[in-house]
Amino acid sequence: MFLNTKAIKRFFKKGKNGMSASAAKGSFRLYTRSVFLGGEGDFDSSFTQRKLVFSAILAFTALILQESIFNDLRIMGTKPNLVLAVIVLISMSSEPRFAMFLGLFSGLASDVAFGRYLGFYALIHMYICFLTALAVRPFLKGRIVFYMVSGPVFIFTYTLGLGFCARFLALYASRAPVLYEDFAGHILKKVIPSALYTYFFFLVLAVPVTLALRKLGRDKRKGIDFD
Amino acid sequence: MNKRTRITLFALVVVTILLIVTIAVSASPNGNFNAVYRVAGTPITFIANGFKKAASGISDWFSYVTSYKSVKAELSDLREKNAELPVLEDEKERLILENNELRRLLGFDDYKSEYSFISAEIVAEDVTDWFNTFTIDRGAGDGVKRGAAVISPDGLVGIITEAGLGTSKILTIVDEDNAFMCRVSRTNELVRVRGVSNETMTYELRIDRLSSSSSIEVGDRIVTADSGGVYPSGIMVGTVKSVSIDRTSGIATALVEPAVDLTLLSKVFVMTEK
Repeated sequence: MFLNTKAIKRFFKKGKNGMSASAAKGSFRLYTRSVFLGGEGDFDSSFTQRKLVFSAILAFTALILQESIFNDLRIMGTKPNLVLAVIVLISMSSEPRFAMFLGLFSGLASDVAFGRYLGFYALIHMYICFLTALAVRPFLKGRIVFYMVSGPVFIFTYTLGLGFCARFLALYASRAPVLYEDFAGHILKKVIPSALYTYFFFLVLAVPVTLALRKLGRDKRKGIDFD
Repeated sequence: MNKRTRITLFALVVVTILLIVTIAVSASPNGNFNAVYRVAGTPITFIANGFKKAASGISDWFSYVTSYKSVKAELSDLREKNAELPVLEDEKERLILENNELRRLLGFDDYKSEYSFISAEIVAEDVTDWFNTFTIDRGAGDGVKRGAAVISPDGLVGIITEAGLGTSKILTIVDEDNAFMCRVSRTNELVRVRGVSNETMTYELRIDRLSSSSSIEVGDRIVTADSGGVYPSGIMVGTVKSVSIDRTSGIATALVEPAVDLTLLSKVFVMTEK
């Protein structure tokens, strides 16, 4: 069975004793350096059951919070895309196949519960996660400081891409006469405010989520590498 | 490239094709995924609704504690107004009777008598701002049907696109997917109105292809027309905000400000035929 009770028990047991090696030695300086800049062999991006459970819960919670709270927390008429912030963050610390399925299922949940077109968010999220994992994989795995620096690029690109796909779909459904009637207005009023607001939550979540994933990623017993 | 990578890429291609087909069907006029929405969407919406109610309960408690003085002042003000209510109630009864009698004499059909109204609360919006959809806490079990008009006391809100078991989705009038026939109430001119809010954050409607002979003016009220077959006639849509004419083609375009402020909307009514 893919999700068995033994795996869940192991998840909680590991959670209590799963501190990093440098933290266990009591060296706060080394630990901080390791957390933010990473270290050789300190991070494993392989697929684990505990990571799957954690990521699924996190993505689902983000979706629920997005709909229950963040719709009312608009700034300049825009709201953050909490789901995007979470899935990009998880994908940065994951191998591409795991990221791909995470994106697919978070998108499907968004589609069936709150979306306009079935499959739209599933397709977009799947590619967002897959491309993020592929792009980050050779360089930055587990290095939070690089996540924070590269975050705006990913978030802005994906927000722009999401908007482009939505516009393209509008064109397909013969609703819009042209792809962009006011491209500057589209970027200034919609893409940039939404990307900035989303990046704020990306920053807030970067350290706790990455630390949790680092802890969970060390279980290599069920590890599958993407070569 | 090893076997696992090839399988992953193959899965990516297959899932992509499947999803593109699903989106295409969903975006077509006859696309209907009500069954999927009923089975999978309703539980998620219920959980989100529960969270929203809990969050608003906490927020209400804090606002009550922090605004105690203003609540007290409001209470005394309300007590004064309450004393005037019996007089106003009598006046209202008299006006209703008079209105009904005049309508009967003029032979007007009141659409309100042909429809029943299901009150509903907005529990969610689209995950992003790219589509203007709402989710409400009433579904097929409450009598909500796909294609039913949704209104608020100020005017038209949108149309039901999916009716789940206990929740439904509304496509608002400002979404570009929502195009419908209306009348200019002053001139009775028939116009086609569509939403334009998807590209930028402006919640507006647009009337395209107005002829140069059109007498539409800023401030004209726009109401629904029954010739479109989507909405019952006579529902307030909005007010003309600006009119511009293309000098080369002679075609005029008008921008309409919706009567309903969709950013502040929390309660709506679904119109279902009796």
